[in-house]
Amino acid sequence: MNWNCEQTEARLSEYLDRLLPAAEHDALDVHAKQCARCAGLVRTVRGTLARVHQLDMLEAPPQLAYNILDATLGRRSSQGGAWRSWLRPLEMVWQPRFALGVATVALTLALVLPLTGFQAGSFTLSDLHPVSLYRTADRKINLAYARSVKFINDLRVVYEIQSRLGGSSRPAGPAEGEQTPPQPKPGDPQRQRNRADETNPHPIIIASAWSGLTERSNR
Amino acid sequence: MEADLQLVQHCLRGEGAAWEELVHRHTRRVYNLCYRFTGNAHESEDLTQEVFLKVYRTLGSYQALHGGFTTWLTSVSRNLLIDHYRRTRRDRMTSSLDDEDSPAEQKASSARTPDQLALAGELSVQVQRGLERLSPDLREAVILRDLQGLDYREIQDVLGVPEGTVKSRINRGRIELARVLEQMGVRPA
Repeated sequence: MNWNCEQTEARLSEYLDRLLPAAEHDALDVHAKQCARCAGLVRTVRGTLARVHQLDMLEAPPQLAYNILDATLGRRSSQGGAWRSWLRPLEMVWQPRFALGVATVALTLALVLPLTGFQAGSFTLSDLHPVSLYRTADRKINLAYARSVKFINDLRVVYEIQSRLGGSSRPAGPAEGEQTPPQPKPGDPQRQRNRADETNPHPIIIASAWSGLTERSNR
Repeated sequence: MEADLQLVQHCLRGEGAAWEELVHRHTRRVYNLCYRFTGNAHESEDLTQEVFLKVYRTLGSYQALHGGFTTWLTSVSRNLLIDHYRRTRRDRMTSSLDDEDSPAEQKASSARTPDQLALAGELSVQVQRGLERLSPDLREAVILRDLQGLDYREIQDVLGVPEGTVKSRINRGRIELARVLEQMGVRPA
């Protein structure tokens, strides 16, 4: 069967909807294989329809059906109408998107609250008192500070051990450009300082400790 | 689930619950038809309400012999949409159609990830803009066939035109829509 470009354009929808008789369907197929223009047209329209068919039906506004019922049946005072009108504001809440939002918030809280030390089992109403909140926050901050101080002190000890062990291969004095923290002499009033006061993180100490560690690991 | 025809019969006997069921069952379909035709969420809401008011008043004239309830409902909706189109033609000429990205586009079915929803929403807006650039005859043919899923025979009943005209309008509408979307940079699937 002979087929031309005008026929392709005129019968394309029937072809795509599989409404053409088999002979015409095949003829269009054969023609499209030889004609780039018709092949392009078939491909474009088929692709566009696939896109259009992907579209979901839009949701109608939740109150629309009730407005229609009110306009046609009047405001209903029947039992069903009454409870539906009470539940109407909740229609927005029943949307899947709202449920997804609630689940996300719950997951976030489940991850964040344990990190802040919150325990649902031991929670009482008095924990919400401003003084109680302040004390809890103060305790947490102090605890975090003390932990960081301990970490830095540990790092210093590691560095000191590292520098003494490596003393044979390195000069005893500080390297060029390297500074050591002032060591308090025995009997120096500074020696009586609180441990927490010693814990100012000295960036040079940390940096040198880090370089010492990496040097050792490279060896 | 009770068939539409039985519900209509119950309605005609004055049973409010049957009418309620019909309204809940078909509101979304009518709203979609109105939205795809007008591209405006508020107008679509008003038109949907108008359609059901008309259906409520003329339900007695529905005859199952002449086709399904959905086809009849679509036919009533389409006639109102055409009236509305003619009534508002002058308004449309003085105001831009694309100054509104309607929130209705965001309300498509939502059992998807946010990314998929965003992509679907974007595609929906682009198709809507493409449809708005078709003539009303071609637009309604494409909407009825490809968005409302009616077959050729049902579209023939709704539009009241011969079969050949239906085929021709659907065909020209699809080709035109494909060209418009291509110009807008929408890649075919």
